[in-house]
Amino acid sequence: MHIIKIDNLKFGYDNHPIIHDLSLSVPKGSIYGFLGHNGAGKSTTIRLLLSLMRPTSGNIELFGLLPKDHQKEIYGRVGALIESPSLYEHLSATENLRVTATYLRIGKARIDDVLAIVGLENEGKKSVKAYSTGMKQRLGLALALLNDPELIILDEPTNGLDPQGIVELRGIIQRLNTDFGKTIFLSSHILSEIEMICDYVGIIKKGKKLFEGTINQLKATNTEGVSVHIDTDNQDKTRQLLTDFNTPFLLNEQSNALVLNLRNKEQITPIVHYLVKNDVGIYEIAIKNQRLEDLFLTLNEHQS
Amino acid sequence: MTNMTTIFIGLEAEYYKARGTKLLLIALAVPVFISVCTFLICYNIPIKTIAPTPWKQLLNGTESLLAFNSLLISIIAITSLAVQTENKANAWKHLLILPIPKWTIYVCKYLFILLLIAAIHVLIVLFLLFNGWLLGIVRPETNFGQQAPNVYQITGNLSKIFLSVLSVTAIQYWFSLRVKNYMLPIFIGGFAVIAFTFAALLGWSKSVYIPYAYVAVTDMFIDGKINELVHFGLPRHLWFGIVCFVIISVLSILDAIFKRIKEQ
Repeated sequence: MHIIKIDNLKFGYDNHPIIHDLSLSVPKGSIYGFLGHNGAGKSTTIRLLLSLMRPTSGNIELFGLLPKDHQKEIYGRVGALIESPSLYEHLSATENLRVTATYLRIGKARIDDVLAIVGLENEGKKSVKAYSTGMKQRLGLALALLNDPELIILDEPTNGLDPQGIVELRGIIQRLNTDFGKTIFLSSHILSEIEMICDYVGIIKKGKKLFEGTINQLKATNTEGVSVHIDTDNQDKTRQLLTDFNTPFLLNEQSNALVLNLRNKEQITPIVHYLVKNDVGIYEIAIKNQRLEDLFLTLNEHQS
Repeated sequence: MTNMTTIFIGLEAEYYKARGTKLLLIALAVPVFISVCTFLICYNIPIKTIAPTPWKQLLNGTESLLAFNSLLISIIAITSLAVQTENKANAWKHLLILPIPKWTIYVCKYLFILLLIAAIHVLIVLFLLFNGWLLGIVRPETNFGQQAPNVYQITGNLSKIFLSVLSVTAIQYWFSLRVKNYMLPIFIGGFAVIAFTFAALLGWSKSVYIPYAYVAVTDMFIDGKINELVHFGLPRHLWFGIVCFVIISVLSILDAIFKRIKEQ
């Protein structure tokens, strides 16, 4: 059963389309990673999903219900953390939860429960002003959990967190899925995060879907190719030579290595010969295991 | 849940949010400030001036202080700060996906602001009565102890002043919902109050159509400095103000409900 179903969704401002014929299906009980670069349309899709904006055309169903007919019921079954958490900094964590709990007619016991779930049970009385970014993000998640939702929508939840905070939040998200049976819809541009935590993935670029399926299915889409990382004494010249040689490449910003996505290993030899012939010193050339990030880059490149 | 229950829940939530902010402080500071000022004025006024009609002098002093901007500027600040509480917390999107009617969020915030303003007026009346009692003790020759306050006149005049601020509250609420920078509504509203109050005091005849001048116009009407047609006990400009308040309140709530969240 699909807990979210989006069909041919379109959205834009005037003559500027943002989402093009987007279709997604999120299975119940999954952790679904919604991937895309900044500006790809992830946040817009989430806002459309939550009826915070109206689509130009297309259908959205949550729990098999149409938002326009069952908005209140849907909101009662969804918890969301959209970008930065909505927190009143002059109040404590408990008081922040109390504001939302008042609207929802929820008692104090649930406030204690959600604080415990996100690991803030001993920090409830502390002013939110004194919270770290990670603690604020966890409190934002606690707010989303107050109504014990079946579906939790998290928009870039690890944004601005330090590595420790990311690990903690990842652990909480995984527990929510495994221990509490929540379906998680998680957007991110940090691909390694998605790879570690999600079982399903949807990839979006410029408002268009590039891929949807399991992580294994994504990896299987590119088994025929090889990803070759190359590091030389003159990367700028190498780039120029690769362009002249009609070899598509990408720059791995973390390692500064050039990433070539080739059809097979046999393509490596002529490239190396060509570079050496043009006085490029090769420090390292390595065939890398396809990680999600490489696959993501490949998909983007093919689309381009 | 009935609509009334929903409204009470929303007001309760607004109260929790307001605790620890400047909102409640301003709501208390305005009546205290005005009371302290009127006390000092009446304490220092020559006996021959105050003794014949002490309560009237006290009421006139209070009304004049309210008219000279302190009330409207405070109301403008309260309205902007109440909306800013949500902007600062980035909270609109969170509130709008709660399983409650959207209108609740905007209506309850607005009602909370109006309740705070009403509370300011009630406190002003109470402090005024307290001031008279205190002056009667510390300066018995003022005759406060010898004459009974005209509570009907005091509450009637303060009610007129309350009605005269409603239209500005509605305009400022809409403005604050529309503009994310909370200083802009305070600055523009404050400037409008000062400019139109002086225009009214200088006798500008169109002041009766400008909500930002209404407290001054009401004060002048009460003092008999201007003549206006009176319908059902209220001067014409207050009727304009009430109509303006109703129309702008409805429009601002509808505008907020149908506004795209991206703009917030």
